[in-house]
Amino acid sequence: MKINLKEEVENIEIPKELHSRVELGVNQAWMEEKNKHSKRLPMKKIVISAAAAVVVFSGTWAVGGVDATETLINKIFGSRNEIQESYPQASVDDIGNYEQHLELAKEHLTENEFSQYASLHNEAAQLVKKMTVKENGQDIQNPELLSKDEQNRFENISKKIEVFRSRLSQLTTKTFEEAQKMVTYPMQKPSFVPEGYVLVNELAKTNEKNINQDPTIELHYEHGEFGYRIFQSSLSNKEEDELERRVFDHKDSYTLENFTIDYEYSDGSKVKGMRLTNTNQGYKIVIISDLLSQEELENILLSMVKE
Amino acid sequence: MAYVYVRNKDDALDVVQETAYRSFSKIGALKQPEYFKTWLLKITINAALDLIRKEKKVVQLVPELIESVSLEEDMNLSITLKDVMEKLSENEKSIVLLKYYYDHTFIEISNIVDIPLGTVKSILYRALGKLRTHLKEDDICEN
Repeated sequence: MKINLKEEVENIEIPKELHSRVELGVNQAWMEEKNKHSKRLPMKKIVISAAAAVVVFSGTWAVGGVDATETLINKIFGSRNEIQESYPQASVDDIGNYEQHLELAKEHLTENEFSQYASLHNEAAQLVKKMTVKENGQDIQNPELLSKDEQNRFENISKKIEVFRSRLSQLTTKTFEEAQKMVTYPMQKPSFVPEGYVLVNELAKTNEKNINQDPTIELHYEHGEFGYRIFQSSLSNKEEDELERRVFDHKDSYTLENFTIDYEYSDGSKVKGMRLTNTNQGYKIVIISDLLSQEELENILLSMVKE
Repeated sequence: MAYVYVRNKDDALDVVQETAYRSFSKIGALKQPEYFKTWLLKITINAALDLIRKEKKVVQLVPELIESVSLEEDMNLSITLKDVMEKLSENEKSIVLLKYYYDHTFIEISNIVDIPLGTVKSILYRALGKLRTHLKEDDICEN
């Protein structure tokens, strides 16, 4: 009896959605880690919930209050209440960030493009409102409440919005060298890299409020399937840093070679986070690692601050 | 792997998303990184079985033992992926794929599927016996 499954298995067509579904799964787990007490939503509903988030609230936008009555949100949606009806879980900050994003879009897209972008957002909000229901006290988006045509339209709108968002995202993406010119402190890569790890990606991002200020540098190192990420930013940058975004069971603060160290870890997990704060020069470096020890994290961070 | 169990793209993508979710949530529990791929396979299989269980309500966990069969017999018969997907139970699929696609040893398979070594062998031989019977029947029908 001949058993040769390899070629046939290799020939199974990989769906184009594969990568995005992996991302959704990881994001879902990440969101739960951030808010450990939240109840997990059913799988298919999460998919659309995440799709809705792609339309409007994903990305890291500058936090800012919106007091003016003549906001872009009012102009596009009629009122702030309208947008809150579609996205009841959006916080005041989320709405502020959204306004910020629309202002950036208005400034950098042509009049015609912005009109199209605003119209897509408006239509998406109407569809999201239609598919939003309350379940166990939570607002969730259930695509089955839309007709097939509406589901297709929603997917189509999401894709078009993503094209614009990718373009706008380029405005806040900088090279290491460009970022260095925006800050007074030195941006250094670590001279200590644990054995086997290699730098696989480096980038700098600014926020949408000030696209040429306060960059956050990100360095990504990998060793096989595992790795660590380093984030360096100014102390004047008031956005949540990567350590603040995550939830660990234990927190420990101490001083190491005159720098303040915040070390966080969880029971039963090797994932750890550490922040080094350099108050004299006004910056902080955060490292999040899959497997490294506390000592290795310290050595990496110290190797970035020593002359 | 997921597709072989659920046999449709949408469910396979659900399994992929669930696998990503479970693996990211439990990455801290992985003590030896060198076993990452095996660990991920185990999560994938369990995610696929959970989905099938949810839809079918019943999954045969440890099937009855059967007599051993020899792989050397019937050299003219050839197993296709379609046969594996359509003719075998979930456990049989796991073991056939782990053996003939991933080239795992019986001990490794036993650890991945959490089934005793002897039972793993029995399930494999039974699966092969089942496939042989179907293939012979098909052969007879064609002639």
